[in-house]
Amino acid sequence: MNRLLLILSENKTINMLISKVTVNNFFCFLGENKFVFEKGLNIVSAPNSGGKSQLFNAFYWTFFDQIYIDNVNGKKEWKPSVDIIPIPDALSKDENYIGKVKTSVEIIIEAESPDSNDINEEIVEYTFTKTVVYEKNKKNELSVFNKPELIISFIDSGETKILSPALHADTLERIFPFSVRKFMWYQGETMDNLYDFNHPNTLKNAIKEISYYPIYDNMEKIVKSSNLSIAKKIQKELTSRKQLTTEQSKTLTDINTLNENIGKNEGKIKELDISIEDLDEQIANEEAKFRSYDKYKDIKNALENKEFSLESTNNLLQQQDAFLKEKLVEKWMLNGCDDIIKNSEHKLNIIQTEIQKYANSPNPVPMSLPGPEYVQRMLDDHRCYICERDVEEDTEPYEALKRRLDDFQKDASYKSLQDNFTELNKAKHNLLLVLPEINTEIKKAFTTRDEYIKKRNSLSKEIRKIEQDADNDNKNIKARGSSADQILSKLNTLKSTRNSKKANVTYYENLISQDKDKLAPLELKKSKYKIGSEDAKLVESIAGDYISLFVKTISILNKEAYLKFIKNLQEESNRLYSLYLGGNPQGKIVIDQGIRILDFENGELLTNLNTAELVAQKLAVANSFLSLSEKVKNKIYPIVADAPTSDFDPNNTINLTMNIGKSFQQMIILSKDYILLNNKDRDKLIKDADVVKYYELTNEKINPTGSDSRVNKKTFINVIK
Amino acid sequence: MKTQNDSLREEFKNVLKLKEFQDEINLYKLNPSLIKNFFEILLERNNGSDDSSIIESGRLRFESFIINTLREQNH
Repeated sequence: MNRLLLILSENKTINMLISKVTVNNFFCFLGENKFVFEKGLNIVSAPNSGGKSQLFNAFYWTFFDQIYIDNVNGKKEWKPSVDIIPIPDALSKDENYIGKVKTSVEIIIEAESPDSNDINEEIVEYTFTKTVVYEKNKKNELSVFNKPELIISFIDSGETKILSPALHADTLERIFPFSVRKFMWYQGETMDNLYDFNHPNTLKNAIKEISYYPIYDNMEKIVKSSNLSIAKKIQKELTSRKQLTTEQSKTLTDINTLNENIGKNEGKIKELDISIEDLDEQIANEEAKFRSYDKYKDIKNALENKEFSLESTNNLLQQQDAFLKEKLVEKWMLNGCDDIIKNSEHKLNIIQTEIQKYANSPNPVPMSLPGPEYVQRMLDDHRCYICERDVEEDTEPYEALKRRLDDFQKDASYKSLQDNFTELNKAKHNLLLVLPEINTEIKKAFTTRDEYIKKRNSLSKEIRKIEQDADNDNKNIKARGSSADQILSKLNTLKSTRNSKKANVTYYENLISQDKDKLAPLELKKSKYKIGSEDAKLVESIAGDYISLFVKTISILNKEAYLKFIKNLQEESNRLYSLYLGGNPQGKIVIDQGIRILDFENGELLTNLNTAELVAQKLAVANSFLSLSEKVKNKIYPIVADAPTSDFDPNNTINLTMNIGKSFQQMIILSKDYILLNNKDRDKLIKDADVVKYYELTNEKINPTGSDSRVNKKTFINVIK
Repeated sequence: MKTQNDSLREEFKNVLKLKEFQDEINLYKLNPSLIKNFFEILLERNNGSDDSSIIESGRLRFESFIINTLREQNH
């Protein structure tokens, strides 16, 4: 039904309302399926695969060209709708069906007119119709026959107008501002992504959309610029009228110069603040990245330490093996020496006996006197040169000389025997020392080697465990660990740049402060000038008085706007938080550098909160953005939430349902958590929570006697209320 | 219910009630209804965009409006 244009002469709040959704051949919705929604709490109850998420997708497909669907890993993610064919299996996979298939979603909403402005704020009825036509051939192949097309029409003064496609993006952005869009449509399972104040832009965007901060900021720029401009005009006018003394003229010039300098330096501070905000954003992004890589840094270090130990152990093992090999060769070479030594004992004794025998010789004359060459000469000459007498052959002296010559032979043998005996004894002694030592060393080397092998195996096991725990292979861990190092290095650079910019801010603040100090006495001097009579006061001077008042007042409003927004956000979050938990929250939400819940009494950070409390906190903060928007910008958005209570137990689900509807003008909850209710409890919930529309979706067989395949299934809508 | 500009008007009205600004209004004999009118100029087309050309055109409009209004009053 078309509605007439609503001129908001009395109630100027922009109330956005989703009135009707018609889904045709879209995933599990076969044929035409209609949903009518009203102001208040609307519930669409369905089991898993019942169709609630596809109804949610119908909105996103139509407005934002996206579909939340399983990826190849079975995890859900937002995908561009161009990659997805939304035709029901009952048509796309039915081999008997050949021909064209039209998928369409029509959404009727009430929202602000494309021509709406502050003076003439209007609500009009929009119809968003998105259509795509596919063609199916005999081979069961689908191709796009008509590309997806969105038509936006609205009723203006009773006349239906089609919005030019060139204006689609602006209109969608106007109706569903990007910064609050995610708070209007959200998935319970992606609740964690709803907001992340570690990203300063989340807050900044929300502030832009919801608070007065940017408006006052602009006003301040305008009035300050006017203040400088009017001051110049005053001086110019007074100079042209020759109403200024030289000193007065100089004072006014100095004041203008100082004001200009202050303005310039304030501008520089603003620019630096923007850079610092950007750096904050980059730092937050890098820190977020680092959080996912952070563990790999430690793992990489642990892995590298273990690998270093393993390498060292392997080196030691190799050294040990070499040492052992050397010792084993030695042992092999000396193999059997024990027996030889034992057997040598007897022979050594014989030698020793022989040596002793010789040593016991009765001739006391040393063998060197005279030497054998002299004895031989005496025998050859038959003359003893010692007693100077001839010695005949076969005489006793001649025989004595011959015996003396034999003694030389014997002495040489004795000496050789003596040497050998000494050597043999020495060798025996050495062997007796070395043999047991080698055995001990070999035994010890084997023990050490065993220890190294044990250590090597243990380290290898530890390395495998580190890899398994990290659920990644060695290469990946190291790559990620290196990424962590790189991120850390980038973070340090960014932080250092930020510090330097902050130092610049301080520098310019000091300059401003110095200029203001110089300005004060000049302003005092100026105020004492009697320039012309009061009646003849320049129009520019009077304008200057007004503008000066604006500079001061707007500056205060600007400064307060940001803090006021945070304060309001915190108050509203706590109001909703308490509401969602049935008035029994454990602590209060505090929004400063992040979002925390602190104990009511001691102000300490509350940890170990249960899932319901955490979800309630996230819902409360997310919803407070929209709630504040209603209060501040006078725009009321509907909320469409898919499975917001999926982490709640049944009691909390009922509790939240009872309370959440009261926080917004229109809310559409798509959930499986109500299917557990029997008819009586369901009807009680509808009554107690003041549910305006209640649908139950079931995915059932089209042909009751047919197969259980998805080809033979579609979603049926049961209108309970 | 109030519009966004109604809320801004209300905040501006409240800040003007501060003693320091009341004193300034009395000292310079500023006309409260003119202050209100001048504020309306600041509200015009203010969508929070900080484009420098918008700021400059806003300044021109604000300043000219004040001077022209005061001139008209003087005559």
